[in-house]
Amino acid sequence: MSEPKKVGRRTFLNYAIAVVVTGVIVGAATYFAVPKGVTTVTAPGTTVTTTKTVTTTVTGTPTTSRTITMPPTVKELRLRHFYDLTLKDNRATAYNLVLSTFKQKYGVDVTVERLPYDKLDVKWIADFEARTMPELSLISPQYQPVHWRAGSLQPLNEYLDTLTSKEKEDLGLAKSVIDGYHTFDGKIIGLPFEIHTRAIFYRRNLLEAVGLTDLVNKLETKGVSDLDDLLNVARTIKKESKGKNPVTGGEMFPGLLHYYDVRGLVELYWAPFLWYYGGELYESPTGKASWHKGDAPIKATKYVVTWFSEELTPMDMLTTDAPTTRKQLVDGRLAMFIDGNYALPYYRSQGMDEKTLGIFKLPTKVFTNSWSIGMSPIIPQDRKDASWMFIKHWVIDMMPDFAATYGAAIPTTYSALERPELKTGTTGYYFNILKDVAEKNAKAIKHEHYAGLLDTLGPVLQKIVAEKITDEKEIASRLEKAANAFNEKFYP
Amino acid sequence: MKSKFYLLLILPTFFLIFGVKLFPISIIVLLSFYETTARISFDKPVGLENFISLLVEDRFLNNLRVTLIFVAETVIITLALSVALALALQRGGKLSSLARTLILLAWVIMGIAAAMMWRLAFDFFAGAINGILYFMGFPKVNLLLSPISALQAMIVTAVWRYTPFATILLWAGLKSIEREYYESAKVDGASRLQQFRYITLPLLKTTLLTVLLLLTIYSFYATEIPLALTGGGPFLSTETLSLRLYREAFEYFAWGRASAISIFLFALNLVIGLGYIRIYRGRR
Repeated sequence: MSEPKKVGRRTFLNYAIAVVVTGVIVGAATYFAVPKGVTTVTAPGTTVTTTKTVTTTVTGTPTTSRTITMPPTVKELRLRHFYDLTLKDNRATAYNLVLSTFKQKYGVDVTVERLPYDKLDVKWIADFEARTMPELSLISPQYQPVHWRAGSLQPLNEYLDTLTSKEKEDLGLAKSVIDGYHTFDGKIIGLPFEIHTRAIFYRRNLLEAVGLTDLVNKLETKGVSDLDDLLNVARTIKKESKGKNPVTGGEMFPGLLHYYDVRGLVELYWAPFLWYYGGELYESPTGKASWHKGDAPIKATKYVVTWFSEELTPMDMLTTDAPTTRKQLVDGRLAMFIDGNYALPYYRSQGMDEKTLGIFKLPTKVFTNSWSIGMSPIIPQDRKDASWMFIKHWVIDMMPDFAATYGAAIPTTYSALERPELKTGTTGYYFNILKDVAEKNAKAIKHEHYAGLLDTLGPVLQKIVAEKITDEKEIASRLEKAANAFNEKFYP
Repeated sequence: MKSKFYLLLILPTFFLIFGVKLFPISIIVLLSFYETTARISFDKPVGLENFISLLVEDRFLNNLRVTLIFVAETVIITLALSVALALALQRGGKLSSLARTLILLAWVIMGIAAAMMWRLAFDFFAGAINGILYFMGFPKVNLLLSPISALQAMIVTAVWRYTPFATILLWAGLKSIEREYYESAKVDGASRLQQFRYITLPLLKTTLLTVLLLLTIYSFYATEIPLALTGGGPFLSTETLSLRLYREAFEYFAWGRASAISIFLFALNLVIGLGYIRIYRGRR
């Protein structure tokens, strides 16, 4: 048998180039041939430069209201979520109640896929690009402008028009967050299922154990009057608890905040103080950074640094995350922590109640947001109708039962507020304070470049705190540099 | 005729490899010249602006600095450790097969799981490292609090993760060296160090280069370690180029800038890889 002829280098290269070129042509043709909708629309903080027409990804949308019923063709829906529904806490019970009653009522299974909360939106948009996505997902309030720009959420106006006037009135409790977070150019792209707000949780029984009964009475009846009062409360706790902490034997750190999560530290632990002193994070409607303007940011920053420089908050909190900090509070090493209503199921599961874990309001505006349920715009019409049935079931029909069972959610309907479980007992104790905060002290952070804004400002604040800088010129200079960097990057 | 048929048989593989790989690369190169704000689109060409804006940005220059330090330290320490471990395994013994299995465990664990495990270990309040220090009567240390120690913590995690893979490759390379060389050298009176220097190292050069290249590439593209261990903190001081790329793409949805960063990374890897090969060829 003769040996095969050797392949010449030129021949080999010719074939290889032919394959490569074929691959690129086929791939490019496949990509560009698929029609895509592109919009550039106004979101708060955006200056519209161009607008393009959305090509059809939303099909079969009627122009008049129609009666929505559960399509018989739909037997299963998929919901993306970030809570662990296998935990034995009130939240899991409440969520499972919604899912099970939906199945009982409509015979439709809702399968839950769990993702970390900071990955839900990213995955939703990536799946939208890939044209393969579940029907429903929890959507972060801060990423709503991005979803609007991407066209990755189905507007719900058509479905909201089918509600009765009584249902619309009931949903009116959530109007401010719907308008503030989930509406763009008149289109509502998600409905909130609970409102998140924050207050100061503190170890009531431990403070009483070290002899601070009068302080506890003050916090329970009057709260704190201003930021200086809050600081003095912290100083008193640290001083009076020294050597007397019934749990650790040492002192009790007032704690208050952790600085590991750069986004959390801006939203929860700096912005409220900025607002207190009259500052704003960004200009509206342009969205340009304004966190460096005036003396409000300097006062807010010096205030936070004081908590660390006086060791009211241990420096280690710079590397501690929220779950670890909660554990420190439960274990009695920390006396106080600014936390959200969503943390209550954890605290309750650790045996905390109104006698062991008190709550009082921050003397400032408080970052308040609302996660929403959003629907895919590229699913068939029957699955859209079924998805709407689920959203309505949760946000309106089941909201009273959901809120009463959860005991920590600030609900979205007036009818839910009437539930006696939310007015009395341990649940009522926490709920009344949190509802008061949501009604009177709420403030939103809604920015089209939310992640970029917080990632630009957060590390600068972290460093100022870590280095305990109190020089006003230095603080002003660093904040201004960060603001300029943000504006140059996003608003050149 | 026979040679053409031979080519036809391997054509589908070429099509798959070059067509499937080259198309995404082409898109990334194209995207780097565009600005995007949510979805991948080619609506707004910006020329070289993505590249230029990165090169003048303090944060990017810091990312570059951190990446180069991370890669250099990880590669050097991992290589030294793996050579030592491979030599130890080569000596054999009753426990060598058990040792090989245990060593591989670190490689088998997913990168993100390994990084989270080390995050827990370094934790100031509940971490194993501080637990041991406390037990021994030493004060606790917060290794993730300062930029320098946080970066070293990342390097420790990376070394722990990559050493098994490098060790097994090097050990396989050592196995391929014929015993006769060592026996002759022994007869000639060569010490262990001389055997290592004049027999082991030269004959292991190809494997060493392979391991060096792979370690460099893995280190450059290690996103899970900074993501899970430090989050790029404290105050972005441990944010590597790969983590920055991830953020630009999947958190800021700035696909154009992310593509530009990926081209930077590719270029860096290419330059370093070609450098390795040049040095290797120069010493042959």
